[in-house]
Amino acid sequence: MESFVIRSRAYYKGECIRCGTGIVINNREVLTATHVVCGDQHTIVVAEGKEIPLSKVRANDVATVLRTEQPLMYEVANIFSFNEILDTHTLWTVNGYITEEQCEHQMTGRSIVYDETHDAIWDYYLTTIKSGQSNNYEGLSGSPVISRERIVGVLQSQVSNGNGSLGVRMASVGLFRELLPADNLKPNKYEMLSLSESQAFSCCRVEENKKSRKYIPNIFVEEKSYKEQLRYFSDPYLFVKKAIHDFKRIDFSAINRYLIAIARPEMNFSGLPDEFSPDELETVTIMILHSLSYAIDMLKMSSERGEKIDVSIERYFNDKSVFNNSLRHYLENLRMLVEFAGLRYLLLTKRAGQGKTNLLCDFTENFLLKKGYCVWYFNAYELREDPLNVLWRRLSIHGEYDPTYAGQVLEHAWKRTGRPVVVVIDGLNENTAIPDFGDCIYDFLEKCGALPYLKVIMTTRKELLEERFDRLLRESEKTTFRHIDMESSDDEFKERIFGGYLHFFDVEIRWQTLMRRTFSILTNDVLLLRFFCEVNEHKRQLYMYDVYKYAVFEQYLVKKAQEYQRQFKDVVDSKELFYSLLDHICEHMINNKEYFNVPLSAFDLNQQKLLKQMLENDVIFKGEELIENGILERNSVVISFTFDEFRDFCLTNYLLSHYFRCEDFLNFWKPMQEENQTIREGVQKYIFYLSKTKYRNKLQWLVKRLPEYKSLYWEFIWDVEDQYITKEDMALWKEQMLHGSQYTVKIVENLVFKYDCTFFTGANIKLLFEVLDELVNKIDRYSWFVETMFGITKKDKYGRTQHEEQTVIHVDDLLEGLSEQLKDAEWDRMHRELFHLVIYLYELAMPQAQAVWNALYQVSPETAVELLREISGNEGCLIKGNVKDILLGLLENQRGDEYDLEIGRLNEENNFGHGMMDTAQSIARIFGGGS
Amino acid sequence: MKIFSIGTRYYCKTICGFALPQFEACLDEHLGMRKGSFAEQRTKQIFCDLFLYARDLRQEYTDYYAQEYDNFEQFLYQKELLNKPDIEELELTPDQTVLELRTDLCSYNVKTLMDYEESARKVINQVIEEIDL
Repeated sequence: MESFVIRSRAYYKGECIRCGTGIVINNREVLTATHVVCGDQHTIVVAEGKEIPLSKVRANDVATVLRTEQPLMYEVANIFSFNEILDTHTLWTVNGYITEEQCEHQMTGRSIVYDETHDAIWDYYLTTIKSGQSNNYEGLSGSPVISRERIVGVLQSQVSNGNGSLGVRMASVGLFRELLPADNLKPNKYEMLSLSESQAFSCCRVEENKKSRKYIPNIFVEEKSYKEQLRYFSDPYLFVKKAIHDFKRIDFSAINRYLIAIARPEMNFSGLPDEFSPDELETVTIMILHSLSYAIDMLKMSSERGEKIDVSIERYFNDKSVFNNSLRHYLENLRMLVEFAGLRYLLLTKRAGQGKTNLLCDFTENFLLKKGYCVWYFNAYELREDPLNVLWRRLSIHGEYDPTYAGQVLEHAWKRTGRPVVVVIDGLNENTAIPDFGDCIYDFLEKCGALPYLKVIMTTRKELLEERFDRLLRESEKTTFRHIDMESSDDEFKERIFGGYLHFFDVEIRWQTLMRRTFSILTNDVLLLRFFCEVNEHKRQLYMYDVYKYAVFEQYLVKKAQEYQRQFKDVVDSKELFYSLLDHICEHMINNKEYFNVPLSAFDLNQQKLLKQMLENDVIFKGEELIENGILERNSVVISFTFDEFRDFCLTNYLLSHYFRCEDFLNFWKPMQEENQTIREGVQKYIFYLSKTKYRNKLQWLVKRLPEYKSLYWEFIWDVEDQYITKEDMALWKEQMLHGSQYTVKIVENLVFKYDCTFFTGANIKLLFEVLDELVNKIDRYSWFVETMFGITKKDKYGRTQHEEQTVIHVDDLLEGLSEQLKDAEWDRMHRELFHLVIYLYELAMPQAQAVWNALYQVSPETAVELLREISGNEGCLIKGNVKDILLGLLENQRGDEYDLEIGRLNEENNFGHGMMDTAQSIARIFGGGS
Repeated sequence: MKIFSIGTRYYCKTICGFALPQFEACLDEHLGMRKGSFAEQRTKQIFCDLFLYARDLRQEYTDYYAQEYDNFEQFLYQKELLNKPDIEELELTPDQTVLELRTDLCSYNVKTLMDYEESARKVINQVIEEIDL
C-alpha cells in the first residue's frame, strides 16, 4: 500500500454515511472522488484511528480536494499522469480501503479500456481483474489506479458486466487535472527515461567530438540557411507558425490593385491560422505551401505579363514599380524552408574537412539538447549492424521496455507536442563495418517510414557520393527525403570562420599584412585553414602576406608525429611508426599507380591500430568502404588522404627519400608526365619547391635538367618563400622585365605586393624600382611598361570597368586605396614603398597622385620627407620631374613647421627644369632673335 | 532611434514594441510638410518602405530562438552574424531592440537610395533621431 493512500469518511449530523479512499497530494490536501464527499463533515483516518477534520477547497464532478489545518505526515503523491498508454495490454494496480471496515485491499489486472458511452464522472473500464476480486468494492472510491509507476486515474464506481461479475470503472487524470497542482503531475516514465538516456548518449558523443577537435564550438558559424533548414525540419510546429506569421505580414494591397486591373482574383491569406494544435500541423503545412506557391505564381505571372502587354508609358512604369522588389524571391525562400517541415530524412554533403560534423554537433548541442529533444547522435563508423536494431535497443532502454509500448509512447508524445525523435548519423562514408552500407541506410530509412515520429539527419562526404549512396539519392521518396549539397560560402561566413579558427588556436597575425589572396586561399578550404592554425597554434605576430602550403604541410607532419609519440607511449617509437605508415601508403600508391583507396589489409597490426586512431580523431585520412564489382562482389575497407595536395606532398617526400639514383627518379618522372597521372601537378610542384628549398644542393641540378624546368619555374616560383629566392632568380626576373617578356606581369605582380622590405629582404618592390630606373632612360619603353602594368581603369560606354589582363593594379585603384588607408604613421611607414611607387607612376594620374602625397605629408611628414630625400638622388630626368612637381605641390600645402623647410631645401636642390630657361632663350634667339 | 549599416545590411536601434502606425503618426508631426502634397506623400512612402518589413530581432529572438541562445547579444552574434564590436557599440538596454530593415522587399529604389545617397541617409537619420522612439 502506497503511503499516500489514506482512509476518508463523510459524516452527516455526526453519523458516518460514506467511507472512501483518498490520495495525499501535498502536506495539507487530499484528493478523493466527489461522490464520497457527501456529508456535512469530512475526515481522514490517521494513525491509531485518530480522525482529522477536512474542508472542501475545490472540486468538479469527478474529484474533490479537501484541506486540513494541520500538516499531514504522509508521502505526497506526485506521480499523476495523463499521458499514459491505456489499452488492453495495460497492467494496473489499485490500492485502497474496502467496505465500511476500511480494510486494506489490493486489486490487480490487465486492460484499461476507454468507453465511448462514459458519463461525466468516469471514462475507463478496468477489466480482466487478476486478483483482489470482491462482491462489494464500496470504500475503494477515490483509490488511485496505478500503471507503470504512474497514477492514471481514481476509482469511481463498480458495475456488473453481462456475465453478472462485478467490475470497476475509473476517472482518468484528464478528467480532474485542473484540480492538481503542477508539482503533482509527471510525464510518462518511459518518456522521461528515454529522454534522459538519449540526451546523455548524444551529449557524450558531442563531448567526444569536442575532445578530438572534430567539433570546435567556438568556430561554428551559421552558414547561409542550412541551420535554419534544420530548425524547420526538427521543430516544424514552431517554425511553421513563424512562417505563417512572416507570410501574413506581407502587404499584397498594391499587387491586388494590379490583379483587379487585369481581372484576376485578389490574394488574401488571412485564413491561415495563427494558432493550431500539433495534430493539425500536417494540414496547416500543406495550406501554407499552397498559399505560398499561389502567391509566387501570381507575382511571377504579373511581373512577366507587364513586359508583354501594350499600355501607356505611365501605366507601364506604375505597374513595374509594384514588382520592383525582391518579394517573390523572399517568398520562394520561405516556401523552401516550409518544405523542410514536412520532410523526414535529410542528407547533408560537403567536401572533406569543411565543417559537416561541426554543424551537426552544434545543432545537436545548441538546438536539440537545449530544447529537450529526444535525440540519438551516432557516428556512422561505430555502427556494426542495421541502424534500426541499434536504435531499438536504445529506445527500449536495453530491453527494459517493450518496443511496441515504447513506440506508442513516442508517437503519442509526437502528436501531443509536434516534436519528433531525431536520429543523427554523422559521416556515412566512414562506416566500413557494414557491407553495402548505402543499401543498409536506404533500407533503414524505408523501415523508419513506419515510425512517423522519427526524423533522420545524416551527413557524408561529397567524394564517392554517387558510387556508395546512389540508390539513396535516386530512389528515395522526394516528398520525405532531401539531399542538401552545402557548397559555396559567402563572405560573412569566410570572415567569421577565419577569425574563429585564429581565436581558437590562439594564433595572432599581423592583420595589416593579410593579403586578399591569402585570405581567399585559406577560407576557400577550411581544411587548409585548419592545418595552418594547428601548425601555428599559440604563435604571435605572424606575417600573412602569403601562405606557403608546403611549409604548412611540413610543419604539420612534424607536429602530428610528435603528438602521436606522446599519445602512443606504449608503442615503441610511435613517431617512426607514423612516418613508416605514411611511407607505406605512398609506396603502395606509387607501385600500383593508384592514388586513392589503399586497402586496409596492406598494413600490419600496429599500423592498423594507429590508422584507426587517426581516422577517428584526425583529418589527415578518410576511411571508406569500396565495393568492387567483379564476378563476385567484394567489399574492402580503404584509406585515402583527405587533402589531395597533402597527399602529393607526402608522395614527393617519399619519392625523394627512396629514389636514390637519378635514373630511378627519371623512371618515375617521365611516365608521370607522359601518362598525365593524377598526381602530376602536385608532385611536380612540390619537387620544384624542394629543389629550391630544402634539397636545393642535391636536387636543383637534376630538376634544372628536366625538359619541363622552364614551365615549372615560371609556374611555381611564386610559391617559394622569400628566403629561398636567390640573386640568380632576381637577375633573371630583372632581365625578363627589362625585355617586357611574357612573364613580366607575373613578376611585377609578385614584387608589387612585397612592399614590406623589412619582411621581404630579398626579392621585393625595390627590384621593380631598379627596373624602372633603367627603363626611364628609354622613355618609350618606360611609358609602355607603366601604362601596361599600372594603367588607369578603362570603362566602356555603359560605365562598366574593362578588365585588362596585362594590368597588375590600376593606378587609380592604388591611389584610392592609399588615400583611404593612410591614417597613421605606423601604417604609412609600413607602406612607404607604395608611396615610392606612386612617384614612378605620377604622370598617369597627376591630380590624384598629388592628393595622396599631400595627404601623406600632412599625416606622416617624416615618412614623406624621408622618401623624397631618398629619391632626390635619382638621376632619371622623368623621376626628377615628378619629384619636382610633388615638392611644388607640397609647398602649396604647407604644414607650418620645420618639415616645410626641409621640403623647400629639397625643392632647391632638385635641378629639374633649371636648364629650361637657357634652352628656351636659345630657341627664341634662333627663331625670333629676341633675348 | 538611429539607422546604421553593417556590411550590406541596414539596421535601426529603437525601443521594444516598435509599431509602424505609431511611427507614422510621429512622422506626420515631425515632417512639417503640406498635408496631401506630393512631397509629403513621397517622403512618407520612403520612410514606410524602410520600416514596413523590418524584422524586430529581439522579438524574433524571444519568440523562436530564446532556448537556443543564452541572450539576445549571443543571438545577434551567432545567428545574425553581427560582429562583437558592432554589438558592443550598440549599447543595447533590455528595453531596446534592433530592427533589420528589409527595404528591398518593398522597393529596390529605397535600397539604392540608402546605398548610394549619403545625403539622403543623413536627412533620414536626422528625422528619425528627432522622432526618437
